[in-house]
Amino acid sequence: MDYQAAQARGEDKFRLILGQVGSIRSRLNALALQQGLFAPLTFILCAIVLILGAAFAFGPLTFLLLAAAVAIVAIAGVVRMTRAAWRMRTSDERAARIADERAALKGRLTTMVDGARLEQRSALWPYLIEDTLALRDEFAAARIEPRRVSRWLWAAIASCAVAAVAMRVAYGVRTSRLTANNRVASIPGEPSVDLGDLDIRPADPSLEPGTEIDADPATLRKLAEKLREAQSGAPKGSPASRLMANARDAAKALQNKLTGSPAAEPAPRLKLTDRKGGSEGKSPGKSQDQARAKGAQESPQNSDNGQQQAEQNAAQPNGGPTPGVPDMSGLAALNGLNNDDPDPNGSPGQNTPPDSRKVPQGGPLGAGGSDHGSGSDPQHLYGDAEKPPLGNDTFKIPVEVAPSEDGSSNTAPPSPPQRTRSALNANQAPDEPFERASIPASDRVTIKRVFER
Amino acid sequence: MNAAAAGEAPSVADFARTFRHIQAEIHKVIVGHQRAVEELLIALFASGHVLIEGVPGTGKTTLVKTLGLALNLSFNRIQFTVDLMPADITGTRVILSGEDGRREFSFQPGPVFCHILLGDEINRATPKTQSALLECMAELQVTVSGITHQLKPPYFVMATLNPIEMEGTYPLPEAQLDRFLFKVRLEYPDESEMVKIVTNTTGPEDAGVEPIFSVAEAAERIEGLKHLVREVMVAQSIEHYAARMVRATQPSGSRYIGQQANGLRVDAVDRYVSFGASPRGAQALIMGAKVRALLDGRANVAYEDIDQIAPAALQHRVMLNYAAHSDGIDAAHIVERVVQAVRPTRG
Repeated sequence: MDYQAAQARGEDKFRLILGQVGSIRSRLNALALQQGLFAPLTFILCAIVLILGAAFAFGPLTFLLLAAAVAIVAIAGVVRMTRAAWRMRTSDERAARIADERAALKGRLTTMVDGARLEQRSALWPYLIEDTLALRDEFAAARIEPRRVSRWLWAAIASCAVAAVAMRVAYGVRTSRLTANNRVASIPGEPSVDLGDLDIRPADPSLEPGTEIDADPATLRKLAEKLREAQSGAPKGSPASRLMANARDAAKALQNKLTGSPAAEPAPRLKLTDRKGGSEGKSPGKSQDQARAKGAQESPQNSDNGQQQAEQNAAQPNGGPTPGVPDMSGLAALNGLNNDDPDPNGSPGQNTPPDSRKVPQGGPLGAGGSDHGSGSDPQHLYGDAEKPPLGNDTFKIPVEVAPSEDGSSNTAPPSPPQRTRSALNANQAPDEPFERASIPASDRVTIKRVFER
Repeated sequence: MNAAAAGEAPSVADFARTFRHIQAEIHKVIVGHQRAVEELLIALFASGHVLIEGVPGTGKTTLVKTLGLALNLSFNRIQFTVDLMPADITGTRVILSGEDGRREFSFQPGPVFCHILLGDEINRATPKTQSALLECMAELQVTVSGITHQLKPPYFVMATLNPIEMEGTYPLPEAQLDRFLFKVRLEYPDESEMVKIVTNTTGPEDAGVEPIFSVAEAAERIEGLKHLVREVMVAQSIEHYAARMVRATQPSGSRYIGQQANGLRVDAVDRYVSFGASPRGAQALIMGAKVRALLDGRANVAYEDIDQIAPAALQHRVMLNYAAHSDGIDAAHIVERVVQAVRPTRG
């Protein structure tokens, strides 16, 4: 009886020790779980903040590289931290080993946890229980692992705060930029340019889509021919450069979404004339000046790219131009006019849906274009046509319209000299406005007469 | 009178007390050599045998004699020489005449029939004679003329080696070296120790050793303590640790062990060791560690016990190659490197 009672007491003590080992295990597992949750969260938030900052601070290519690097580091960090947390999970045996090591118990707990599985225990088992129980305070859970909260929790809270501030700032900047963009987009303008003065060549594929062109069908046909010549004669970009351009476009699109920058510069509207053909512009010099002014702002578009996109648009007849993607319906129609339509006077846009057609009569498209737009078509010089003879003579074609000395017209004005600013020497003084002199009363009548004349 | 003396099973405290008592008695005669004496006693209680290596005059024979006196066990000494025959140590059948005048063959036990055997300068005997000790050490029995004679436990063999007089000697074969649990090295005494040795041994009276046990109970008491050692518990992770340590003594390119896919690679081992420790090395580690645990008042083995016992248990089991001899690398250095390499793999 005494032996059985002693044995029962020994088992109670043994369970007490195992319970303490279990509490150590629970505490260690809780820490592992916290690390598994908060460490990846910290990495993800830091990555978001860095990518957001890069979107505002750098250009598309740098942003692309930085974002990719940050994303790779973040993914690697998340994977690594998750694996580390998984490895930190603790069994009873491991908790006993850790407690042995931290409390310098010299393997007592490990031996006890091992011995729990044995059916036949050593004669020294009771001694081991008593010996270990005497050191119970040494391996209390709070002493083996004082922390209840992982350090990663603080890191996650800090990164949450930083991310919140960063997003708030980004939202503010984005909103202000969107407002500014809407204001710019509402400014009208439609210069005219003579087809003969256009220098058409393949543009950098990475540049933005270009200008919307309004012209009569004959002019557009000639423009299409010139485009085709340029495409066939010029070497196309290498696959690497096209890939790079696509990547940059994607980065730019993402960056624009993040920063609120306009998806693309508002495409300038341009009326194209052909002085050598049947349609004559009234004041080519003026339209060239306007084109030059606009062309300096606009981004040329690769004709290859444009044609591909035109085909994409043609494949989506009901879809309008998406933001950031140039409207290439004009070029598609142009191609149809020159290649597919057997009747040169027929409607090239018959294959295109009516939605994509644009008639340049009245409305905002015709604003400022009464001299150069429909008026350049001899049939419409004295009024609006009752029905457009070609069905659709309005196209959007991305072309490069920067003035060039290599233009086809000898009368094209040279490019304006580039402005340079040099430092003044010691003998020079900056320009100062003349003092405004008062006009004598006796001369006022004379001056007024001159200006009136 | 402790519990063990009263016929009960000894406790952990009894073990440590008895061990320290024996140690103190030996040190009445033996000056210094604390580590060697402790390892000697550990081997005794771990049911092993000891190879003692030391230059002449360092007290090898005195140590063994003193141990025999302290334990009050039967003690024999064999001086190994080149002309010593196996029958000289195991015993032989001789013709004896009885009281009635009849003559008959009778087995005359050799010096191995005792509790503590000292084989002095064992490397001077031929391998044939040396191997005669194998059966005694491993199986506690002697077979003569087809008849097996059991040796009485406790049986403890201590063999001495003289490392400097190598001419005309027969180095112990690896198989016999492996049967010694520990190899204990007796270092040359320092000045203060030497003064004490001179004082103790040149006076009118020799230092007397008091036997710890009576003749009647000595064997039983020692066997009881040896049984207690085997009751010490070892966690699986510590057994793995010992096994890992022994495997780490094998060079990775050894053709005897195959691919050490999960083994540790120790550069010094790969470079200087031709053959490492056998599974007996792991047994020696665990048994020695159990004794150390009891001495520390524990009923379980710790990693530290394995580390402390490793030099004595593994040194003589590591066979060095020519590169080690030419570079002046000894087995102690190799074992130290192995322990350093294995220590980070604790569970």
